Amino acid sequence: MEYNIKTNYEKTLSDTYTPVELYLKIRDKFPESFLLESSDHKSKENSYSYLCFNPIASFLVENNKTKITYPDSKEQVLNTNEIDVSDKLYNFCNSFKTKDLNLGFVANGIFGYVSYDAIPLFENIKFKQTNTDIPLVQYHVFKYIIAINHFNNELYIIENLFNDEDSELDFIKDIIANRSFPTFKFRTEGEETSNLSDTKFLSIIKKGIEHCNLGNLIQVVMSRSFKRRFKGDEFNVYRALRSINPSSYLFFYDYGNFKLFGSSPEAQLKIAENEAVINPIAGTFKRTGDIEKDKQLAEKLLKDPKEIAEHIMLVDLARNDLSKSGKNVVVDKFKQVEYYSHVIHLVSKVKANLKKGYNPIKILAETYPAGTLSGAPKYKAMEIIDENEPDNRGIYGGAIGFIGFNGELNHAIFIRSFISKNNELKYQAGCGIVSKSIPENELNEVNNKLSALRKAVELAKTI
Amino acid sequence: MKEILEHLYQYKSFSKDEAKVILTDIASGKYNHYQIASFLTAFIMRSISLEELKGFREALLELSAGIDLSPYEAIDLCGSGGDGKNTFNISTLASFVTAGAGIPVAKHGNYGVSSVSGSSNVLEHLGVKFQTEEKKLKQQMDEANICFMHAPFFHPALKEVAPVRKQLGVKTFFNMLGPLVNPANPKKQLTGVFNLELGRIYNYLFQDTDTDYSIVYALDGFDEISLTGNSKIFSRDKEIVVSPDYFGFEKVNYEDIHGGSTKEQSAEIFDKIIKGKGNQSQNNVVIANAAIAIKTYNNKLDIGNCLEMAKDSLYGLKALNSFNTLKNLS
Repeated sequence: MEYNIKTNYEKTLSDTYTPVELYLKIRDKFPESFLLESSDHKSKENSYSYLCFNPIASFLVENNKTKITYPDSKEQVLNTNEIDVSDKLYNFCNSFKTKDLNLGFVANGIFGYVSYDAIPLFENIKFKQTNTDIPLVQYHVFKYIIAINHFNNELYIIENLFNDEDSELDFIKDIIANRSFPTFKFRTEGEETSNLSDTKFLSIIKKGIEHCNLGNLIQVVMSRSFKRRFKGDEFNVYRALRSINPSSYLFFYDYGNFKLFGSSPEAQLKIAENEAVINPIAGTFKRTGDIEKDKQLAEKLLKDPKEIAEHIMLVDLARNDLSKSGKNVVVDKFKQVEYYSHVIHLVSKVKANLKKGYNPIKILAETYPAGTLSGAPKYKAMEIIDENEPDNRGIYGGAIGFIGFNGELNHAIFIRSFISKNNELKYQAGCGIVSKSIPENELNEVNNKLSALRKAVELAKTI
Repeated sequence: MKEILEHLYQYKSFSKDEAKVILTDIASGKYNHYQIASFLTAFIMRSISLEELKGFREALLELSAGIDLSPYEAIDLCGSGGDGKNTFNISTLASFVTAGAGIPVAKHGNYGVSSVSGSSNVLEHLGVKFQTEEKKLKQQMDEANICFMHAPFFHPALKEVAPVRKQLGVKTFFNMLGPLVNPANPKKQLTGVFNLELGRIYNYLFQDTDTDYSIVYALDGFDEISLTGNSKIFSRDKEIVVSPDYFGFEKVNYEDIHGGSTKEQSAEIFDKIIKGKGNQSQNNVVIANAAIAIKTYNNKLDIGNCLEMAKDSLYGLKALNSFNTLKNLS
């Protein structure tokens, strides 16, 4: 099937708007709208925010059924186990014929996620835990995309028209120009709960250590999840989170039945100009709040044999993953110290060239889950995770982002993020376990990683 | 009023208590129509805050002739109206189907504003007499399992602003208040909304009450489950988007659920459907909305059971029986 899409756009200045403000104006005019932001505005390439609304086509994988809908309301339902999801999704992507607007950034494509639970769709592995509360894979094409270039303070309203639809750009401009938008309160109810007690989680960590000692694994990432009930508007938690934990990947996806939002520091995979890039992030120290002390910590981190071993292993994993379809795999940056709001990380950059006509979804499938979310050897680690964690991971450890119709891709790992469903916020974090791990430290690592999220929940109550 | 207006012109909002006092004063005739018009206009130009809406609601409820139907633990099914779609009287029919299914209904309704024929129009046309006395309403509950409260009879406050609203001819915050001010203040409620913004604000408002509720909005613009596409349903513990599939029904065409273009036609359509002689689309839409009401009333039932109860009520003519009983009581 082919769909010819006529794309219009208008450009104006963005300096009197913020992405959050625009999202508040749009979210109830158009159900199921998305917001993607980046707080990394230092470079021109990374300084775009997107608002996407009015979905016109979708690709959705549930356990057994894959449902594809098109702009003319045509619907295809397939048996998931009879199809190759990455091929089908790529075909879906390619069924939209658009003109490249040559705006210098990805102005059109599909937005969505692949969950951790979707791994068996791409890899020969079976998870015991199969119950999922959200779809495994979900991508949408939107009629409207607002792209904000923070570097030049430009705002683009991009409109995808199918057939002889009339342009409604004026209507969208009116919504944007409206000065009034409502805000609401947020509050929590009851205490935080976890799917594991500290004691139980410690015993799972010990099991991980045992597997490493036995030589079954070099590293494994075990995780636990937390829940908090709430009332009111959880968008305030996103607002608080983006203030407390500004990250390269900030997003708020409203799917109607549930919402995904977060502040991920880590790219799963980036593809641009036939080049695929992974930035392994591993080695974590908690920040003290004192710059001098943090510097000393960073030096300590660079000398810590356990952290270094972990980091090298992850760089190797990334090299391995990228070599499946890529050529000329190179480690571009190695072990650089990067400061985040609450933690210090070691970061590297691994890149590879891709053949023309590559399927970006296939490359994504080959590189996820990240080693930082599974372990090494990856396959065995995933089996052991599945055996030991009490619940399926859902989207935690999956990837979220967009794929341009031009083949560019940018996905973050779904970490430091929330799932909001049934008036409950769910968040999850893990720790990288090696044979030398000290269980209590690993337990604390999970808390360190979640500290920005917990603070955001508290701050959200006050705005 | 001068301070109130200046407060508004500076984009400030009112606390719940301030809002309550203002509306109470308006109802008592303290302000003239020009002042009221200006006051209403400020709220058309900006979103109403949750606190303000709560205050206005409290004022209206306190001023209303309160009716105590608490022993019946009834549910109200009442849309905001104002979706501009002119569908047939879906929620009124769903009310009788719900009552016929054994669930007590205390329905609040009014004449149509944007639609040709609101619930009060159609019931009046078919011979239902509006009652205001608690005793009579209780008798309706006892015998028909449903009572009908015609809003203007219970809300003297609305009389004061009625001419201004009419002259303005546009939606004001009063359109948001209808479903929130049932004089019997029932603890169960199914309400439709004319847009998602209103759905959100109702959701947050009901979250702070002890009412079990469902708020429905069909994403293609209807203030009820229209089965023409997906619908959003907010309730105390979740918000979901459901397709016609959820009810086991096919998608419905907009043309099939049109209301009449006159009051007579609307009454005719109502009469046909309540007698179980509606077309498939009409019946399914009524059943879907009644099923959500039943589920709101008893969350333990699964939607399949609720649908069965609703079908049995409509096709087994229990809804008709409820309606006839109500009519003959008048």
